[in-house]
Amino acid sequence: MNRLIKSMVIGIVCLPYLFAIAATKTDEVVLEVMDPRGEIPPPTFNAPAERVSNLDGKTVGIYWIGKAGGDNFWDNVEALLNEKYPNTKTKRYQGVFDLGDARAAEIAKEVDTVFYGVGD
Amino acid sequence: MPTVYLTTSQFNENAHFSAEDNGVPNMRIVDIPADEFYRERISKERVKPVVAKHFDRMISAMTSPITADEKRPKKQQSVTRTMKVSGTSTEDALESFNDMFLTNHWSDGLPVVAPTPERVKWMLTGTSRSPDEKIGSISPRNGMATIEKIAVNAVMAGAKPEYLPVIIAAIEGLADPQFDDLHFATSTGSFNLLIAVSGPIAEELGMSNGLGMFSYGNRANSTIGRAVRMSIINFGQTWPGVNDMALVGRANPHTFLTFAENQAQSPWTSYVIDQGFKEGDSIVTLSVYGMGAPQVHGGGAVALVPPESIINTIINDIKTAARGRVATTPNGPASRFGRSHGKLVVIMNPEVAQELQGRLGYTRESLIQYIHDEASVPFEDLAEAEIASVKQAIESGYIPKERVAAFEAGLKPGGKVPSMRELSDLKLFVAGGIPGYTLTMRGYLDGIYSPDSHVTKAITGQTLTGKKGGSSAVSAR
Repeated sequence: MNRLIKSMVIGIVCLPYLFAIAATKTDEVVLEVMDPRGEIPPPTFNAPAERVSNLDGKTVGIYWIGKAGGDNFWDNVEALLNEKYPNTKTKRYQGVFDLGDARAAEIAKEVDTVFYGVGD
Repeated sequence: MPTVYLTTSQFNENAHFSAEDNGVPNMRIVDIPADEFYRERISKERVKPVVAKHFDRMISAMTSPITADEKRPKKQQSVTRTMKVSGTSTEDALESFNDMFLTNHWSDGLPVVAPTPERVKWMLTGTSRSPDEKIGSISPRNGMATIEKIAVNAVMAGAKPEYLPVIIAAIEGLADPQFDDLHFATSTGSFNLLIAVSGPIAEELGMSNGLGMFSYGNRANSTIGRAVRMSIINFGQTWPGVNDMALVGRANPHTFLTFAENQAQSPWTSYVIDQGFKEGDSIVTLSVYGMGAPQVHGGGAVALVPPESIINTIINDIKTAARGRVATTPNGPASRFGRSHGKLVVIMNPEVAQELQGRLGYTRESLIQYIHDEASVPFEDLAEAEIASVKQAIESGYIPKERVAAFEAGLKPGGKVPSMRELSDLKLFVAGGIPGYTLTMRGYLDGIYSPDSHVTKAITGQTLTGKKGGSSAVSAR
């Protein structure tokens, strides 16, 4: 009799633990875990700026972050632009990866459209 | 401004994340295949066909009208509080859980402990701070770290509740807006993070600080560092080759180099006091270091290397790095001396510290002063380009106002120009065993994207270790 009471007590004590990893079906074990990710605040949405319809008469900016060898690439881009769009001007810039709002505003005043080259 | 963003294919996903996080998720991005660009960029002639091949794509991205789809926001990812994973047995469910977390980039590649609500609640018993408290956002993707989310990641890392306040302080360091947590976590160079724990909590947690201090086998060292890594993965949302672009990875990627000061064998006051905290306070220091570190000094158990030689090596390293070389340029000789200082973490083994204090009489402060003075360069040894460079550093404001007099004094006959911008650029810890090695770890002095590359935070809110509640200060740099 004592053994029966003891078994019942053990059964009642263990019941919540059995539910922690709950058997929803006879042969299924469900584990509940917490999401480890941090919430990312929704950023403001900006659509890309409207494009220039063609490059004729436009000034194209080329911004490069200055890593080795990139100049060789952009020299060729500039040459092709000049060759294929003779009325198009180019303006080269070089600076840090994150050019910042002030510099971006300056560049925006000087060109109609821009290639922003990161190269890594 | 209509902009086309050019990157290489290896960085395409990274560029899209970056555009999304900066509010232009549909930015026009043109990727140049990495295996074409990097090899051929060596010369203008060799890269010409690469440009010709991709030129039309570049022009199209610049001129074709923005579509209706591009004008619509993208769906944001949602973070849930809990989720369920099932299996045919407990072992099967745990395996599915580990697979799911790794597949989603929520884990570090080693199996993790399941963060069940019960286990996270247990972890939170280690702090008196509210689970909802927001600590700050972590780079690069700016996920918010809360006390509860830190606890989730600490559980996954295998930490114990009494470690949680240390982990929280480390995350406070990462989230500090003054600390550059972006560059070391994402750059192509294998920059990395050093995590130092100072003060009584280190001993209370049984942290490793002697022989083998960077080794495996200590739960506190291993899981505190791993919880920081896990938090960077889950708050910053980094992933190798996606936005953690370290070309060969980062050493000790799962746990970082995490150690405690060996105060019991140090002849000097600890870093706690050095940083302006009070005796009995505990702190965590995060410091970014570069490739090639740590450098090893001394003879260990094998060779006889007197402490004076170790100090001389450190002095020469500081001097050499600060001066660089005078380069030949089309505009004449050019130097960066005075304009490009580094930071040096010195982890000195106790026997060397004891010798320096006992036999040679150095205090922590007088030793750093001596290193600073000896690393300074006599005016008569300076090249014209170096003098011009130092003058430019003063004029540009790069040299702090309170240090200008010291630099100006060096620019006169009989003077010496400092190789250290400030004495505090040398961060001295005593740790390791006897015998041991002295280690130096060079890093950039100022952050790249935020001002600092080194930060110290007070450990607060302990409930299970000696010092309960707050410290005498919050942070130091």
